[in-house]
Amino acid sequence: MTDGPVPPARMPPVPPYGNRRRRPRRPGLVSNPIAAIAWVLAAAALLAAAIGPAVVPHDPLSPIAGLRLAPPSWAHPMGGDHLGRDLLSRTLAGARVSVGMAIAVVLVSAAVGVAIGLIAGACGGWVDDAVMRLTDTFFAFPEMIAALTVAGLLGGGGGHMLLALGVVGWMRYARLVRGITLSVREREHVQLARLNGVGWVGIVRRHLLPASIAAVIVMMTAHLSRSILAISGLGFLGFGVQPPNPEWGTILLEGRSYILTAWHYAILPGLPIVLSALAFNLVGDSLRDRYARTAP
Amino acid sequence: MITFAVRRACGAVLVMVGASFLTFLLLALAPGDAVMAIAEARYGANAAFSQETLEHVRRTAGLDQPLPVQFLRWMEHIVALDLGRSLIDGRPVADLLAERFGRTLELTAAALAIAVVLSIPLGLLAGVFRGTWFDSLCVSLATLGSAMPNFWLGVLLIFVFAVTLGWLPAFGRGGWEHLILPAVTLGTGITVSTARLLRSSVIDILEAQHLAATRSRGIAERSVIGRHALRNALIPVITIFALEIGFLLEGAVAVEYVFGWNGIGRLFVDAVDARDYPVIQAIVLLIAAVFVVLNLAVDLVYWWLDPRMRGGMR
Repeated sequence: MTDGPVPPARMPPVPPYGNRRRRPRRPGLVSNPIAAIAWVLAAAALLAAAIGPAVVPHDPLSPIAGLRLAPPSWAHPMGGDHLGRDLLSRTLAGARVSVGMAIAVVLVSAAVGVAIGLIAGACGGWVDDAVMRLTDTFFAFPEMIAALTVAGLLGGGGGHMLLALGVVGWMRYARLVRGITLSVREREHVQLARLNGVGWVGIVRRHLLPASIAAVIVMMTAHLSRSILAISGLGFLGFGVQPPNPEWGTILLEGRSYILTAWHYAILPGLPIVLSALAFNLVGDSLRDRYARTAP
Repeated sequence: MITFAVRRACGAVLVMVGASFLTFLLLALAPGDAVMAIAEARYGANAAFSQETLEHVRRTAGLDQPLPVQFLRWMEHIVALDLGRSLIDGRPVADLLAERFGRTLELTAAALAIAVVLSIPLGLLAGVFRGTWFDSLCVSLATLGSAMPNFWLGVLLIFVFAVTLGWLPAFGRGGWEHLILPAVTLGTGITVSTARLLRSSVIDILEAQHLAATRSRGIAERSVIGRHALRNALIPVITIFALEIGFLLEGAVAVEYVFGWNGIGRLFVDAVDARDYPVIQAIVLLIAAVFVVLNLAVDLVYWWLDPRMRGGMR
């Protein structure tokens, strides 16, 4: 046995900055095929809302000769409705309201709820008490009944639906953001910032909002799913968009009476509702697993 | 305890008066011609109404009074607990509610029974056999079920079981066979949410420390689950069930509409359509009351089941 320099047979590669342990990998956003499909479907729903009315194969409002209650065919994959309009075109064009309006509802509710939650959490004291009492009161009444009353009495139409669903949608955000705010404002770095003379606007912008954003986005995705269901529900009860304009729930309402003679009309327009609601739910789940494990 | 209950009861009354007041405001501020809507509902649409008829409708509906007077009338009714009469057919609203609410209760009770019978075993088994194919199946079904709008599920069920197979009637009320499809439609939502909750509750409990202690004493796994885990896992489920009765009432609106079930949900949709103010007010009050009572019941059940809660509720 000779003494000598032992060649470094298996030296571990030197990490660039000292011996840092690798962080355990977070679960990926697209960790399984179902999540992948959900992301694709959600993207398709958003795309349909954005450009659906522009890419329809036929005019969603004008009848085509011979297409009255026609079953699905290659030329018209979803068949025709009771006036002979192409159902695929109506469904695509309907995404503008069904998905687009849901996005608007979510954005409005989130903006209002986050603002109220920040105010309650940052001010504390009697403001917090009063705001949370108000939130509880709004929570005490069933969402859909309230939305139905507002939308039904104000009359159908986009703005009124937005108002109806916004009125019942903001409370969850307010509760969530208030809770996060209450815990973040007591942390040392925030206290330190306040001691250094940073005003509330700065605290909110630099500390409270960034701390809430992940949980809020996860909540928005789930809310988007519920809003799609709520909007089509209002449409189905006749309190949504007024005919002849297409919207998924309204189309189902019209198709309901033809279940004996034209099943495709009563059934098929429901598929995009289920698929998009399902997709946004699953996307929300995967976002939560990735970014906000502790979020509700 | 007593002060807690009294405080909650006062809050409950406030919520109900608040909901009623908001409805009053909404009714007063709603655009559109209410008189016309009421007249159409009363005498049939497409009829030509003379000026006298419209004037008569306006007077009987109390719409000829200025807003402050209408508000005082509303207060008078609230204080006297008087629900008034329907503007459409003149029947006392209390009678109308009693008749329709019974039918809705029938439907919700059946839906609740379905939910209890299905969700407890499914949620429990999925939680105990976590990660198996059975669990994945349950979770997938639950995910699908939570994205399913109940009105479309109703149409689907009608298509399969009434139109195609011809096993069950699709519309109306009658014997027990009329109840099946609407009850399944209405019950699916809460079956799914309850099973989900129970599953995660079982998973949490099975990983809890005190069960490890139980296991280490050599008690069989079966008994650990049956005698120790299940009881604790059911606590959140019992409390959530009370709340879900409220959500059943909400879901009943669309389900009654699909199945031609003349309950309170259908009455509500019709009343909103016809601007039948007293009926709308009464239903809002009724639903608010149900929700408030259920919330109160949940808190009291919690107080009773979980002694840790008692400290926080004075």
